[in-house]
Amino acid sequence: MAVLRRRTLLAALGSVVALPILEAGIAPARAAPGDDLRRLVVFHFPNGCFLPDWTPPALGPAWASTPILDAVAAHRDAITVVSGLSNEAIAMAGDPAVTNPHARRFPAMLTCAGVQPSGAGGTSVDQIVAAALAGTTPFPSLVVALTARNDLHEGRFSFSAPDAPIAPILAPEELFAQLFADATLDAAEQARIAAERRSVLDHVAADIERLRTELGAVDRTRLDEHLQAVRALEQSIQDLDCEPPAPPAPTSADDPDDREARCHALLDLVATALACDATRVVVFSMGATAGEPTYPFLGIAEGDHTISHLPMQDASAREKYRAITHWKLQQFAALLDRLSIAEGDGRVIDRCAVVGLSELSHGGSHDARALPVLVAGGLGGHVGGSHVAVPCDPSTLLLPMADKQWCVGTEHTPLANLWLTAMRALDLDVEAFGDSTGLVEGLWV
Amino acid sequence: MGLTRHSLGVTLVLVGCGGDASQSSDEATSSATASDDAGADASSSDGGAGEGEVCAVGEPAPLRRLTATEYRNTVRDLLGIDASDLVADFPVDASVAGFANNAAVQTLQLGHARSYQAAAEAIANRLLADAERRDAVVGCVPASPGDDCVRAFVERLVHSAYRRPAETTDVEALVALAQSVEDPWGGVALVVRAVLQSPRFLFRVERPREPAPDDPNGAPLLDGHEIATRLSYLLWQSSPDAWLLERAADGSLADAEGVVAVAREALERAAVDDALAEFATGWLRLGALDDLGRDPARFPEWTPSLRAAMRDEAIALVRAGARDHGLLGAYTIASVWVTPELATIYGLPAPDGDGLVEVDVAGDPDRGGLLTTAAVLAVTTPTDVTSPVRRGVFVYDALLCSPLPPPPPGTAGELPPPDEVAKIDALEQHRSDPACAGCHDLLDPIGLGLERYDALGRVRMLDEGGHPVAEHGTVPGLPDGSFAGGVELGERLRAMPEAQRCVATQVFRWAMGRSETADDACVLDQLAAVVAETDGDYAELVAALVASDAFRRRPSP
Repeated sequence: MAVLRRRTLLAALGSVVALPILEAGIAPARAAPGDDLRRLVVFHFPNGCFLPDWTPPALGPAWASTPILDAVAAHRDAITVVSGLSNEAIAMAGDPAVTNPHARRFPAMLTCAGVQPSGAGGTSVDQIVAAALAGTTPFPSLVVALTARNDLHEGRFSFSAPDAPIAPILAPEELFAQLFADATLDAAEQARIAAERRSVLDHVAADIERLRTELGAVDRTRLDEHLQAVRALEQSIQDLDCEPPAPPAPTSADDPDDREARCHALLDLVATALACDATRVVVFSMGATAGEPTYPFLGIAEGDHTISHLPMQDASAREKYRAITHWKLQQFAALLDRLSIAEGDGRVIDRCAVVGLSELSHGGSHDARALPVLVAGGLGGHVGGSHVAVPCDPSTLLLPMADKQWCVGTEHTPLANLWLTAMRALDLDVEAFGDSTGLVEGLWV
Repeated sequence: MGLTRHSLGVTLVLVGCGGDASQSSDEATSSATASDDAGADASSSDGGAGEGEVCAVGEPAPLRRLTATEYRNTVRDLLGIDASDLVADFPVDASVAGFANNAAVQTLQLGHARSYQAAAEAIANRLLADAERRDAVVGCVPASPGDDCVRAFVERLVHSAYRRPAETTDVEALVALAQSVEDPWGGVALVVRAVLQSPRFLFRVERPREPAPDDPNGAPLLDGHEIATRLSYLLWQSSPDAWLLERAADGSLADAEGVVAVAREALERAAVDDALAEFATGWLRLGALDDLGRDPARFPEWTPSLRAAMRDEAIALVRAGARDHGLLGAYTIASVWVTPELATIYGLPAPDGDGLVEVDVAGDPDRGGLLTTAAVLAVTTPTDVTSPVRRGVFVYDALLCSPLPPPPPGTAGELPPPDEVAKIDALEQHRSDPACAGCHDLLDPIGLGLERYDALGRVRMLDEGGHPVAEHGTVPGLPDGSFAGGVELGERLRAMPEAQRCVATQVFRWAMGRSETADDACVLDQLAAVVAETDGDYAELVAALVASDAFRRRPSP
């Protein structure tokens, strides 16, 4: 609940129409960002895709559209299609007590660590970045999901520590409340609320520090996390230098026909939060692995996960998998649309590293080799438009030769290399991440 | 932090289903041996758990944070405020093996702190807005910020909210906070907000201490207030009331006999319905009901109210088991609890009214007991097509506590569409592959015996592909393992030592907020013996648990 102050600039201009207001209720972006403004945006879609319907046939510039990537073709020049990244080795390295194949791969997507019974085995890339940027924005990160499951392994993807899963925000109303709830109050009331919150949180922080000295090491870790959360909460009591958007229109989580509107409402708020510099780290998930949302609005009766398991030699099954993945990628395009709003001389997306991916390549095979990955955003000099492939071992890919000609090499390139490279682009001083073996060349400089 | 394995207590002979879980076989063997040894004499519930046998105490759960349910109940009991709508916005706790109270992942993050702040503000507002409630809770009318009235209120609130007598430092700091605003009631509100965000309220604090010099057990005893807190959240999912705080202070909880006596009295004093609902939800994975999507064209009956009725029935069944039949008895209770919608699923006439009504189904071969509930049959069917494999997995995971290893890499093991190849044939074919047979010889025969129930739990003759469903299933490894339908499967399972021990294990996981470790095999043997002797009578199981060292002690870090 950040306390907002109406823009003094707007007051001086005397009119809200002085700034361009984009459609979809997105507030205007701040004017001149500092040079150090760097953002990470991760877009996840669950249960993989059928790679032959995803992958452009040729490597090189101007990737040719495919049945699925057609959904983002309008952003072709901004998107690099990255083929061949694998997270399978680390998925297999998890604790054998975690038996479900989805549970071994979903927590590894952003941690690139072997899953453990009590968590992910590592801290996720978004939270490493959030910790590095702590204090610069009211919200260290936003972890948001369109649909969710509550299982530790199949329903969580962001971890601030190996055993500290972050529950995603699911409702547009809740996200709006967290970001903008107090924005409608007058300045004196906002100041009073802020002062009261500060004195209560100061009291709580002192309380935590006192109790901390009385406990053992493991319990102290819990209190350290609590203290960190309280400090972050204090940090979020600060002015946002932008205009709050209108509250989201009501939607139902239970009505599939509302899903797209709900998704757009969440994306609006996420983009606004980035544009307002309320946060610089966003993970947006379309849903948990092995989830079963249905698609009556696409004329498809089966659940998402079920569709991924249909036999792909059956043309109608392949068409269903293609259609739901296409719809998911349309939401990625909707995100890129919203990140294209003006900021200074450019656009918000110019200072973003955007990665879109799934936790699985083909969901039905529970395979995390040759994951579908898209990179966008202008941070670190990224220029889109091309289809690139990292070193890749074709012998293990369950695809006909014609569908894996881009895969060349003898070993898979770990997904961790992409995250490591992204962190470097975000100016983090990190040497290694998960099972990384090096950097992915040519994406960011 | 120790990461414990979930695969302890595997006492079935999983021949050929070793896979990645083969490392657990040593532990399994040792715990099975311990089970034989502990045997019959360990079941007395009057505190004498295993005369002469001192069980090691497993690594304790880290600081346990209040779950959303516990928070709601605690606020209700402390302040008389209904916070149900507020806790609905809390970050949802991730579940470990079904249970959402596993302390290993109960961290407190920004999302929690934010929710706790919002809830505390709303609760303080609600308290002050209701003059009658406010005066009853505060007990006096403050004349100036932080006066004697406020101080007295702070002392009482801290005692109940922190579950131990107020310490001077806490009181002084809170009184000072109350004095930081001009309005005396405003100061009271700040006190309530600060207390509700304190780690002493949000966490169940247990302090490290040295064991007594003459104590043969290396793990020190918890103090009376810590035990009272463990008891009240176990039994009531809320903080200790005034009666229990008195027992905490007067030495009643100093030894096992005392703890058992207090627990028995506590069971008489207030219903344990809330606690059993939470336990049932974790044990039977009822949270997964929320994840289920169903094709509305094929399952027009699938509505939010049917989903709620399924959940409520499963909880009612577990409560009835705990109350009258034992938890193990819940496997075979010859009753269903139905709303009009659920009655339709069960092919029963609609009961009067809209609520859940118990209906006797004695003699019905398809209905009665845990394995015939629509909830269990639906949560084991995440897609629209029933999966004998998944139903088998549920039995091994939730009812036998013997999870099987994951399928080896590269074997998605998808069955062809059921209208092309009958499931029974497709499963038989994949079992002819030795790589699959090891585990699927265990899983499939159980699940096939439940094929007579569809994705909503309705009885059927033909499966999704139009093929006749299997008439019988088999519980592997039993001499008389053949069964027809969920009632008989419940009868077979309840006689199995593995199932008895699993009931004990599930109660232990839930009560202790952690997964069991190898050190816990001894106390689990004692609890399993109680289950075997009493069919899992809840009061006896609670008595044996609270008498145990695992419950009353906490090893120093």
